[in-house]
Amino acid sequence: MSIEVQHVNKAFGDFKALNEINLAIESGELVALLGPSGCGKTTLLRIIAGLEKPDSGHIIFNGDDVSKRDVRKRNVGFVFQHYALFRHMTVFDNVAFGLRMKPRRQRPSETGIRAKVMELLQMVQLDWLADRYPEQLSGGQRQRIALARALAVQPEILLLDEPFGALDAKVRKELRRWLANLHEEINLTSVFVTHDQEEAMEVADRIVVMNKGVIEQIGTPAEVYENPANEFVYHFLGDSNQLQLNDQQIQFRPHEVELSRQAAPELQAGIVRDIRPLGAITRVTLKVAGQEQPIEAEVVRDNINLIGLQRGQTLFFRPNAS
Amino acid sequence: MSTLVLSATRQRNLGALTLIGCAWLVFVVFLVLPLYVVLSEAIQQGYASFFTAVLEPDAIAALKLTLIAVGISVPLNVVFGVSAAWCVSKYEFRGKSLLVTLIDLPFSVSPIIAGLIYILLFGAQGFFGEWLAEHDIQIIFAIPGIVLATLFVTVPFVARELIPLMQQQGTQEEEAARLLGASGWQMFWHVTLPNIRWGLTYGVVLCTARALGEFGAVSVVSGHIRGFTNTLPLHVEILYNEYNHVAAFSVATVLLVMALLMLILKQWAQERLEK
Repeated sequence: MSIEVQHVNKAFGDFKALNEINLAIESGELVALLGPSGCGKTTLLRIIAGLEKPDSGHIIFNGDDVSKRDVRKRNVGFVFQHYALFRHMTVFDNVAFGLRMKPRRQRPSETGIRAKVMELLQMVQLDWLADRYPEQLSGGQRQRIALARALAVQPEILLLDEPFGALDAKVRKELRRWLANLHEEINLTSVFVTHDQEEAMEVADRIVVMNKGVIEQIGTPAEVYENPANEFVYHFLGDSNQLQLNDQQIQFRPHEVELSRQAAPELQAGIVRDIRPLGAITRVTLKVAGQEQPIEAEVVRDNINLIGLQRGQTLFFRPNAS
Repeated sequence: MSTLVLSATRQRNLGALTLIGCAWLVFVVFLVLPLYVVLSEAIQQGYASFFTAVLEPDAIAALKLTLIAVGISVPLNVVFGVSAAWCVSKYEFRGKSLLVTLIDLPFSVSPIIAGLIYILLFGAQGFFGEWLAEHDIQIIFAIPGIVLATLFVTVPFVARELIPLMQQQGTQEEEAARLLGASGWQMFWHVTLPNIRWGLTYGVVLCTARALGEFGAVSVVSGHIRGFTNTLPLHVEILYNEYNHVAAFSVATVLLVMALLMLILKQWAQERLEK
């Protein structure tokens, strides 16, 4: 199901949370709303879900204007940042909730519900936890149960608010891949909110970069990274270095650098402050004379210039930003 | 060194023991002793006179009236308390802090004054007195007045208990229920109510205990008509003033037993709440 957001505005008192938001999401896409906290991304997600009413503008699902439609009629799956599982219900009852709330005529039989719930629990690989209560689960397990619960009513749109925010790094990585796979398997249109650019890059088909209530750029991960529309997008999507060359201010990413042990006219000198092996790459921090901010250079770990390199030595570099 | 530590612990133990001892002393002198006196006075002349006093028609009428007042005011307070707590904790609106302050009003106003307010409003010379007399409606010195007075003093209990609980729980579970297609009523019944049930039980128990024992406000509006507008606490007072000590303490024992029952219920609800 496609989603269109047209001219949406939203203010909370004097604070303008969203300013003229226009966005079109294709059916089957996995889109990330990326931005710093307070940029309005969660508000936009809640407006799409129907949890929040925009001051003006329209939300359109598959050509139907749903702006006036109540939350419960929009049939979107929603996963909250802190999962919002029903604490007094077992995992099974949590997942069954949406099916049990259906009007009598549409409601499956109790055996039908059981079969459906167990199928979903198997899909999230947690069928063995059916009788537990939410507080007995780990964060990653709760996350997957919240997802199973949202999918039980067979929504065509899945919205996730900071889906991996509250998890530790390793679980987060696993769940990201798992979510991307799941999205491929069951054909859903998914939108998720995140403040973590790495997460958006790794999972999303397209990224919507937001700041202070406006959309700064929409594009594939490669597009927004390689052709940032403005300063904000450039800085938000990755680390960057600033170098004062003569009267010119140059910006470049840590990996956009060439190193050398030999001085040359086109190279800058820097004193090695720190050497950090980070797995496949190694980060070298350089202090450049006459500049407060250090330069970070990231090169492959077997880069020839790293052999025998010590702190305090002088290294020469050149930004090779395209 | 080790003796120093030892003596420090011993000193601390001594301090703690003294404090605990003081607490027990106060407890015994001010609570256990009076309870003992009530019970011993009640059965001073044997069980027969205890049961005569308790089963006498005026006492039964007083018990009935007390139960009626409880039976009406507690359910009304549950409805009011849940609604008020819902409004305050789930919505933002103008005058919210004023509402919260108003809910607390009965805690700070003396019950006697609460009773007087109703006399001024509904009494024969009161604000609505003439109109009520014309329509032959009796509120003061009748059951409605007693129920109103009981309602007034018990208003805060349920709401006060639920507001912090519901504020802490937030609205996300309710939102999740709406997203999954639950109607307002289904959401309340399946999600909100189960989440607040022990807090609600606790509030109801406190509210009931207060309604059972309310004296001041009820005393002002009741008129003390024996067999008609006497609640149990008022009946105890009348018996006592008539130097009928055995009967007074016997009826007081009935109140006491009900209060202890409430206390046990309260303890039970509190333990579930803390889980």
